[in-house]
Amino acid sequence: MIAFESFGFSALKKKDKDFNEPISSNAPYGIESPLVAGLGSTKKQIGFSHPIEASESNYEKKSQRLEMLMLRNIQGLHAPMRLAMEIKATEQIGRLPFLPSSNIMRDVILGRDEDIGFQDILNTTEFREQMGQPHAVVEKSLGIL
Amino acid sequence: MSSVLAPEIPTPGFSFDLCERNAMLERKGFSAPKAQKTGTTIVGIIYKDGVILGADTRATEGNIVADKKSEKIHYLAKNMYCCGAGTAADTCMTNSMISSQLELHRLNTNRIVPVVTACTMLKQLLFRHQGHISAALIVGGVDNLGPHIYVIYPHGSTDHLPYATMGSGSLAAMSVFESRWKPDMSEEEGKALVSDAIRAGIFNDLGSGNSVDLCIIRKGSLDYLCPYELSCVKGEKQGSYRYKKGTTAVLTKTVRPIIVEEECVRRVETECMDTSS
Repeated sequence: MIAFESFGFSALKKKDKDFNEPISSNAPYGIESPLVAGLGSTKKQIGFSHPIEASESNYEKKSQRLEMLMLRNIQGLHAPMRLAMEIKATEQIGRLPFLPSSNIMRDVILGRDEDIGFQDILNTTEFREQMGQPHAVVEKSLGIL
Repeated sequence: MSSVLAPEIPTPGFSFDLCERNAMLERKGFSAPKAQKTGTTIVGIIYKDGVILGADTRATEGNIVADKKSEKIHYLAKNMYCCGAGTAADTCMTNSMISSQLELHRLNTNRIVPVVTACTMLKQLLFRHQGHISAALIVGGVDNLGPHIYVIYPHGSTDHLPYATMGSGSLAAMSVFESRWKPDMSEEEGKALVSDAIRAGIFNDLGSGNSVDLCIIRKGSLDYLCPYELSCVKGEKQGSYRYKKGTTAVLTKTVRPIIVEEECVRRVETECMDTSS
């Protein structure tokens, strides 16, 4: 945290406020200004604001769970365990946290490499406008920020 | 928790970031524009050698005709096409996405993709989005099992039928099919029936109009006729409504000559290129 004062920014943890705390009244659109507080702050921290936001955010997890269950019923417990082990291995591929992975190995294991959906054409990583400060992202992933 | 230094990276896909702001604006009385009424007639039949898909070409938003030549028969694969009713952007994006996925599937399996595969992909996508993607589709194609017509509703339910209609003109078009469709029709009969059904939609439903598009898919060959026929041709003006020359009388006329007060010529000296360094 001390290291961050050298960047001229305030520490992150101080901003972690109670969600009941009202947003400052000078915020023009009822949300914190994204220029001051970052793009993530425009989002609500709790709950969903669109009917399919909840199902969309859990879709991958749920469909994977369903497939694993089906696999267990058909082939026995060893099959989903082996698959889960492989998926876990793909998550541990060494890469600094601020360099996003293409997740190609994970996609191959899950069969998602033959799939084109909205996750491949909207809001994709190659057209992302913001980027984390590398040191900050690493420290955040290590939990020391 | 996010900050400028380590921003929370959004996952790819739909972004819901502005939904809360929009809800807030609505609470303050600035409601977002409502979705406009759309209208379409799309049909598909099975005939002796394959399928015939038909569509009108009018795109409407409420009571405004937004496009008179909107193509509603979309490419899915070499052996199948898809008619789309509903929001034009949604049908177009959904179909192009599924079309890419079908091509990947074809390259992976190295065989003709069955029509039911496209149907399943579309219904899974639409069901996942719970009707928020407003696309009502008729998928038609010929595969190794023969010709197929699938109807897909915006919430993801499907039908497998020998003849189908969709859109606001579907009732008018279905009345034509119910009275005249029979199994094993010839291609000429089929084209006449489909274009009659689309014409029923065009002339009885205000949301459909302009012209008839047809797509005939046989085993191994295809005819994409856009437009097949122009139905609502704009009438030509009978007379000329331009005024004759001299209709308005000239009351006064003054001519002011341009007086040249002074004339001078300035020369610009040519400058040598600087070669000192």
